[in-house]
Amino acid sequence: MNPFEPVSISLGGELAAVAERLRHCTVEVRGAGPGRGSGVIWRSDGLIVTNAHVATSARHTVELADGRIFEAELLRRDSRCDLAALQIAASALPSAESRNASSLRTGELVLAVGNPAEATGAFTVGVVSARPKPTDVLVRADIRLAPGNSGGPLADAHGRVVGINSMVVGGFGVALTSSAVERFFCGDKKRSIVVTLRRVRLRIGGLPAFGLMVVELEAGGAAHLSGVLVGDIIVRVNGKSLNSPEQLSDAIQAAAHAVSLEVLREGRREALEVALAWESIAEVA
Amino acid sequence: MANTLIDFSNSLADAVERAGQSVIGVLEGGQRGVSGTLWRAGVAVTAEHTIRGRQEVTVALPAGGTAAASVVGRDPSTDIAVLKLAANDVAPAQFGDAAQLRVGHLVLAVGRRGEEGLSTSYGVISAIGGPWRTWQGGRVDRYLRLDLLPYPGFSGGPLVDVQGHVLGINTSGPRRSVLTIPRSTVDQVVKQLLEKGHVARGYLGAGLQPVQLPAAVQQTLADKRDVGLLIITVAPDGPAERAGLLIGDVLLAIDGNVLTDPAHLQATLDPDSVGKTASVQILRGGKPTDVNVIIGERPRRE
Repeated sequence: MNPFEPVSISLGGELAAVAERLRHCTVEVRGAGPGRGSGVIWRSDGLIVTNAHVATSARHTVELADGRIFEAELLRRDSRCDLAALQIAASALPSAESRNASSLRTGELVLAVGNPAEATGAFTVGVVSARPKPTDVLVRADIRLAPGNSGGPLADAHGRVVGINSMVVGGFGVALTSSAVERFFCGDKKRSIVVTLRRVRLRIGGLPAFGLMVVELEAGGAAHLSGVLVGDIIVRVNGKSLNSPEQLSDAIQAAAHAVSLEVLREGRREALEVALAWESIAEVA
Repeated sequence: MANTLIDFSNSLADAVERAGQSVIGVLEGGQRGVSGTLWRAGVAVTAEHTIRGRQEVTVALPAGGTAAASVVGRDPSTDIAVLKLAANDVAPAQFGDAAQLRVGHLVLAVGRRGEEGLSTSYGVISAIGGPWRTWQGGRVDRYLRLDLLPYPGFSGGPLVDVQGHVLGINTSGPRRSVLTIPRSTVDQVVKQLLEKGHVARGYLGAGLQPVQLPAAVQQTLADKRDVGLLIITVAPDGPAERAGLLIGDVLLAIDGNVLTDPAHLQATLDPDSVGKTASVQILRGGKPTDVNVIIGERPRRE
C-alpha cells in the first residue's frame, strides 16, 4: 500500500471488491406477485436459499447477477423458521462461503446485498449490534435494510455469509443465522407435529390447569392428519396432565410412533392419537 | 485479500470490546434494562431518567455475574445518576479527547444487554456545537449531533471513538435521537453528586410568564423592547419574596442580561450563582425599578 494514500481510499476499493463478490452469489427471486426478494446461491449446483415469506408462490423465477433467468423448483419451505430452498437447473455457480454467526464479534462490520425497490444488487454496510449466542437463530445488525433485502445475504468483511436477511425491527436488520440455514437444509432431526401453540390458563373441575391451544396447523402435518383442529386445547399427553410446553415436545421426541393427546373441544374432552410420520417432512440434503 | 477492510472491521470490534470492559448493565433501568459506564473505580454513571425513584439497582458486570449498586446522587437536568458499586473489579473507562472530535468522525454507542453481552450501533458525528441547555436547565459543555440509530438499552452507556475511548454518556433525545453528555460535563456532575448528592441550581422562587408590554411602557425603556416576564407566583419565603418582589411585577433584566424568555433566567442561575446577590430590573406600577435579590438554591424534589 502506498504510504501516502489515505486509508479511506484502500478501504473504499476493498469494500467495492467484496460487494462485487457478494453480488455474484446473490439472486433475485420473483414469484407470481409484483414483489421481489433476494436469495443466496448456497451450492454451486443451483441450490438457492431465501426466506419463506419471499417464496410464497407456486412458481418462482430466479435471476442471477449475470442476467440469466431460471425457473425454480420449490424444494422446501418452512414458514415457522421463515426459510425456503429453491433449485435451479444450473451448475458451476458462484456459491456463497458461509461462516458461523456465533463467531461474530459485536461491532464487527457486516455487509448486505439485496433488491430493495427499483435497485438490483443494492449494497449496504453496518456492524453487528449484538453478537448471537450459539443457540440463537437470529443475528441483529445496525445496517439499513429494506423489504427487497429479504432472503439476501448478510456477510462479514471477507464476504462470508453469516445470515439471511429476514426482518427489520426498530430500524435494525435481523438475519437468520447461517447455522439456522444449515439446520434447515440437513432436515432438522427434531420431530414436530407441525402446530403453533399458545399457553392458556383453564379451570378443570374447579381447579386451575394449564393447556396449550392450537392456533395454527400446517396442512398435511402430523397433527392435521390425525384430526387435531384449530381451537383444540391440549390438556394431557400420554395420560399425564400437561404442565409445560416442554413436556409435550419431550413426549414427541421420545415417542416411538405416536403420542396420545387429550384435548378440550367444545367443552368436552376428546382423545386423539397423533401418528408421527417422518416422511411427511421433506428432506433436502 | 482485503486487508484494510478486515483490519477496520477488527478494530471496530476491538473498540467495542475495550470500551465494553467498563460498560455495565443496569437491570432495573428503563423497561428492559439500560447501560452504565464505570467512570472511576467503584463509581458508575447511568441515565437518571431510567432509574427514577430507585435507591438500589442490580448491575450486570463485564466479567459476568451481577452485583448490587446504590444510587448516590442524581441530576435530572443533565440526566446523570451516579452509582456506587459493591464490586470494585470493573475497569474504569479510558477517556478520549472530545476536543479533537470533528464532524465526520466515526463513533460507536456501546451498551450492555443485561447478562446477554454487549450491544453497539455505529455512526458519525454529524454536527458539533457550543454549550447548550437541556430543557430542565442543565448546562452541557458541547452539543454533539450524531448520525446513529441507538440500539435498545443504550441509555447510560458510552459514546466511544474508534479506539474505544469514551467521549461521553448517551441518553435518549427527542424522536429517537441520541443525546450525548460530553465527558467534561459528566465529570463536573459526577464531582458535585459525589460531594453533595445533588447538583445545586440557582433559584429565584418566582413563577414567570412572558407578557407583551403596553406601547406607552415600551417607549420609557432604553431598549424599547416589547416583552417582559410577569411574576405570576411567588414561593413563600423564597429569594424573590425575601427581596420584596410581588406578583404583578414584570422582570426586565438580571445583572444586565435582558429577560424576554424564562430560559434566559435559567441560563443565569448556574450552580455558582447560589448565594450571590443579583441586581434585578423590574417594572412596577409602570416604572422601571431595581431590586437586589440573593439567589437561593433550588429546593430538591423528593
